[in-house]
Amino acid sequence: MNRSGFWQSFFMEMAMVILFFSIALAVIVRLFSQGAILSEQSKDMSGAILAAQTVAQTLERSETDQSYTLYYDENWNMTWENPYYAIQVDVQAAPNGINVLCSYSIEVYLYRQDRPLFQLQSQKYFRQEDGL
Amino acid sequence: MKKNGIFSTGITSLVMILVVLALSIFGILTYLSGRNDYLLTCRNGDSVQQYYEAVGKKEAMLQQLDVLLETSSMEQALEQLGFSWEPETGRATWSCPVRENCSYILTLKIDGKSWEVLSEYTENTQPWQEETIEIWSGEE
Repeated sequence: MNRSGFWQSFFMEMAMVILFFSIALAVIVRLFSQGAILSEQSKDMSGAILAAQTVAQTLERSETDQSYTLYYDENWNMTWENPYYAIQVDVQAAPNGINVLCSYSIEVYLYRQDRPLFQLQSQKYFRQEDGL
Repeated sequence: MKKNGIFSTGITSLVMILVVLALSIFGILTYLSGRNDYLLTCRNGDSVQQYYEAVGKKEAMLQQLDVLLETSSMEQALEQLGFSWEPETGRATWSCPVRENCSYILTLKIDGKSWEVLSEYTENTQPWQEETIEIWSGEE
């Protein structure tokens, strides 16, 4: 093979390599990004599940008919400034004589994107004789 | 093919194939790891929701129990709410399915129109199948 023929085949090969590498890289980058997105969603949802359970357990020990919102930062510390997550707690009390059945809905969502992460619904029956 | 130093044709293709192969494997592993984490978290979330739904049914049932104990006899109230009643011990047991092969069990001690919770827990209701393997007992 003469010198010009060598460079011609070399550049042809390089062009093919770059073309194939670009196509392959597009697929690979998509795989990495999807994996990262799923991992991030999983992390957000895990925290949301734990936070919702904490609120549910707190509600089971405190008789209230007030709806409220809790705000958290990226590390699930309570905050009032620049919240990252928020928990909306809706409580509906149905009195039955001296006792009360409270239905509560706990919704955890990403505050900035207003995207729901997790929702929990349950009820708690408060009896006067339980002292609550 | 005549080689010309390090710029011999074929080497770049080989290196590119190895790099793409390595990146593809890491990419697939990253995606599968993220996907499995997400599916596991979703399953965890579902089980938490189902548990709290069962707890909610139990609390609503307890309210119904108080109402029925005021308006009807204890036996009627327990039968209507699906309790199994043990008159000797005064214990009444109520169960509610949480999910497949899992139930929420509540045991109350009932005395006239008053009651107290003795225990509440979730129980695996899947029938236990003992697996036996034949082991040589030492006898011929």
